[in-house]
Amino acid sequence: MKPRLLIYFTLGFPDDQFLVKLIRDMPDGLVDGLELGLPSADPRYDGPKIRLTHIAAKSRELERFDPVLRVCGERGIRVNILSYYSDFENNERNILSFLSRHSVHEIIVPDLLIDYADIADPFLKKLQSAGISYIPFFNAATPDRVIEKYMRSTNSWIYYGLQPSTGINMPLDIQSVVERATSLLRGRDIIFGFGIRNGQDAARIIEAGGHGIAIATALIDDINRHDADSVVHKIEEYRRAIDFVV
Amino acid sequence: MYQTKEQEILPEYWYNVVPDLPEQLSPPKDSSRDSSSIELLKQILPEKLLEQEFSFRRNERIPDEIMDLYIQIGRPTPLVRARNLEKKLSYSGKIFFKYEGATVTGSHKINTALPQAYYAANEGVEEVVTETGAGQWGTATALAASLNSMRSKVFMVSTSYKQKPLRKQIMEIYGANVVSSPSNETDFGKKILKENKDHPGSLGIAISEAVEYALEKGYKYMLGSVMNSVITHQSIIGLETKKQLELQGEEADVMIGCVGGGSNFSGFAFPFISGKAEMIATTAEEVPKFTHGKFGYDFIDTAGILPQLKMFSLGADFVPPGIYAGGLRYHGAAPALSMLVHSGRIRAEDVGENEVISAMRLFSGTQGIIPAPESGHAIASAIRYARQDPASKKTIVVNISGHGLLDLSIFSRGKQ
Ligand SMILES: Cc1ncc(COP(=O)(O)O)c(C=O)c1O
Repeated sequence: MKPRLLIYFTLGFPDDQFLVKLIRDMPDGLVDGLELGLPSADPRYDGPKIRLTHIAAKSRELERFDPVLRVCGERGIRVNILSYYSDFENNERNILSFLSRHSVHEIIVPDLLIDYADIADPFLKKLQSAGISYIPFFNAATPDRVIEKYMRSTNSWIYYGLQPSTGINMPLDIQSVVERATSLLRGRDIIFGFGIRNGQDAARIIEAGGHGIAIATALIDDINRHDADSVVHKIEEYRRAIDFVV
Repeated sequence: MYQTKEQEILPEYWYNVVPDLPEQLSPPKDSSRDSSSIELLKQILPEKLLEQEFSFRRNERIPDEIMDLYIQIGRPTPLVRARNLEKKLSYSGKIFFKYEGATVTGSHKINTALPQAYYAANEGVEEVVTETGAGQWGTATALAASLNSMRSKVFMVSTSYKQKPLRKQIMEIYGANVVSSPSNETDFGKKILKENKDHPGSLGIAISEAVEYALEKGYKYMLGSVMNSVITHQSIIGLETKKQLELQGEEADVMIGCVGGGSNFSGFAFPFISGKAEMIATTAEEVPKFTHGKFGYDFIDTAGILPQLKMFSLGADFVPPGIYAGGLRYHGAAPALSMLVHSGRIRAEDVGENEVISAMRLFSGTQGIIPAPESGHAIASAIRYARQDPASKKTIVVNISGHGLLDLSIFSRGKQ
């Protein structure tokens, strides 16, 4: 199967018009999906760059983001939403109606297993009854039994963080991390994210058995400069890097 | 008693508990909005150590060079049945102690100092920097640096610096440059001294000074406890203990150790975590982090240079009472250990200094070994346990994290 390329944007950053235009003008088939982050009051598992996008996005009124999601819908780009549970908790009804309004069926909740493990079960039930699939978010620190539990209670693809937070580049043996993840998560597609800085890293992940990559921090500077050409150009480089492997 | 069947007892791998935890460990958290204190670790820690810290492999191979050094400094350490103590307490079960005081530097701290220094030396570093509370960690760092042909600099908490001149002397014999903390050698130290020139110091302050110094000079910093990689290195204590018990056909029912930052306890107990043994983590009543601290994110160091960790903490600005057991005065405890105490898998117990001193006397008089005051806390818990139910047949295993030959003046405190 062709490796998947996901791109992350924080909604509202740098502004809505830029994101709408960027997504509208993206070459066909460049990305396999977008991961759109709801601006968070406490983006604690994001690195410094993405933290700043959350702060810069200021408003958290979801209606404001409708045009961005509409253009994704028009272009047939698959979307998943990233929301911290700490924000979801306070804004549950609005978030669920936002998802349903735009036919988004997938949600990533980076702090759930870490800070809210004790209420994860009822939360997953709630999502299920709203027709939303929870995408488990694991990393190297996720214990085996937690992974086993979520392998039983979900059937989604898996988002796997390579680093302790986004935008952090700790020394890492990509091969061994990817191999461990794929052997624990047999039968699931795994998209690796957090700290992929160049095409070489991306290719190594696919070579080691990853099913796809997610890119976020590497694009932030260009986005901040409203430089859509550069953003697209960088995405194309990642696309080539992972497609070349197969 | 010493170094028999060494090949059989020494493990080939360190054990990292994280894949076996009940819940996911919270990652370190950046202290400020627009910079990364996690990323800062790259400037002060050897790359290999960071790779271990964040990759969480269950089994981490011990490099041959470090294994050789482990043997040099006295590993495996003995596991001894405390028959005379059992008799004195009229205890029907068995009491064993693992004796980390048998290493050449006199405590478990050398178990992680060696790999950390080795990784730093491999990167061409000329000097390593650290803090020390009791003096045990500084001693281990000084020797590990010397064995790897590096210089060392130690910020020693002022109270201990005054209490323990012999510790300072040993570090200097191993080639270390030892200064009292808070010191005039860092901005943070100067700031604290300006507010109070007689400040007793704390481990949190000494860590901040060591980190600031390492950053400024481009040296590497050595971590004495708390971080997961340190606990992983310390697993050699528990892995040896497991093998030693096995060879004697014994099984631990109760495991007891003392907690400062949590490294000797975790290293001793975690290799047994998947089993059924009851576990007791003993802290100083004067530094009751588990029973009176908060479980949440807090700073590793007082200045907040390093990232925050989710742990039990009394607050990074906590200034501990001047109890003798300097190694137990730290405000927090390792995240994995904190989680297991929080979840109830490990029970926490507080013991006060007077009870500790009596326990140390009893242990010295029955077993001949004078334990470190820190280890005295674990012994006190073990004695409590045995006295509670002398008819019990349970096998109690206690970790004696160090010897107390340089801490004898604690006994005159007990008489006061
Ligand atoms: C002999 C001894 N035991 C215990 C400790 C406490 O540290 P940890 O909890 O990391 O083992 C120290 C720390 O200095 C020590 O020197």
